[in-house]
Amino acid sequence: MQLEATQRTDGITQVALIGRLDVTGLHEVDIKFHGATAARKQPAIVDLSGLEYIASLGMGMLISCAQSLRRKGYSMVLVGATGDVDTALRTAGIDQAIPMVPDIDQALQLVAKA
Amino acid sequence: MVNSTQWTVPLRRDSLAATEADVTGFLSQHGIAGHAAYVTQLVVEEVVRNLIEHTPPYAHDETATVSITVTARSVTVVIEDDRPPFDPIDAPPLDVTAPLEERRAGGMGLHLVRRLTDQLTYERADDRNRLTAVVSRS
Repeated sequence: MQLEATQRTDGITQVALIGRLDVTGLHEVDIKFHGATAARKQPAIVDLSGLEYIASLGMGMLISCAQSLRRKGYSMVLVGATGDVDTALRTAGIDQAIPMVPDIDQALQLVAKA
Repeated sequence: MVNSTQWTVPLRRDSLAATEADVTGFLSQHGIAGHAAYVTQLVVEEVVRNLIEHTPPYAHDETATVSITVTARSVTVVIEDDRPPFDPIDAPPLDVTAPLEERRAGGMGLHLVRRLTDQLTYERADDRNRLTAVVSRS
């Protein structure tokens, strides 16, 4: 499991989760993900286009960090989920709690409005 | 063609990663990929993790049995344990419309298992819980 964090020049954090976010994968990226999102005072775009698997443990990580950002007045947007990852996230209603969009341009528009 | 395997999983947090690796390896060996592999792995992770989280420390020498059978049409997962009676199908429903502020991690896993499997049955027999999940390969 890989995490690639990019500090954009527009003050938005962009984080890509790549691989399998199962129990092993979560242990590999959990602290890094919190550091790259919840610990910062800026909006975050989370790129899931390289994510192959997520279950409730990984979804809990997304929810926890999005809640931390919300308490600071910032938003999180999920972008690029496809296939079974997209289905699992929507089945759990994650899209009702954290906006999910297909591409970065739409994510930037949502973050700018928040 | 029918292929089956079975694992005995200690109900401890440190056993889940190895079980996930075993399940992933078995499915790969038998050509199970895509949706069927995803849902099978999710069922094992969510159900066994739920069992582990509800097993007190003094009972961590207890085990669950995870069996997987692959046929041409489906993958069947059977998870059995000796813990107190618990029917995951009757677990409280998840409010998928709850806003971010009200969301919590609890309940999502069993909700996913109920919604993503093609068949899910629970029975209590001989003082054991037995959950059977069927995932279509088509």
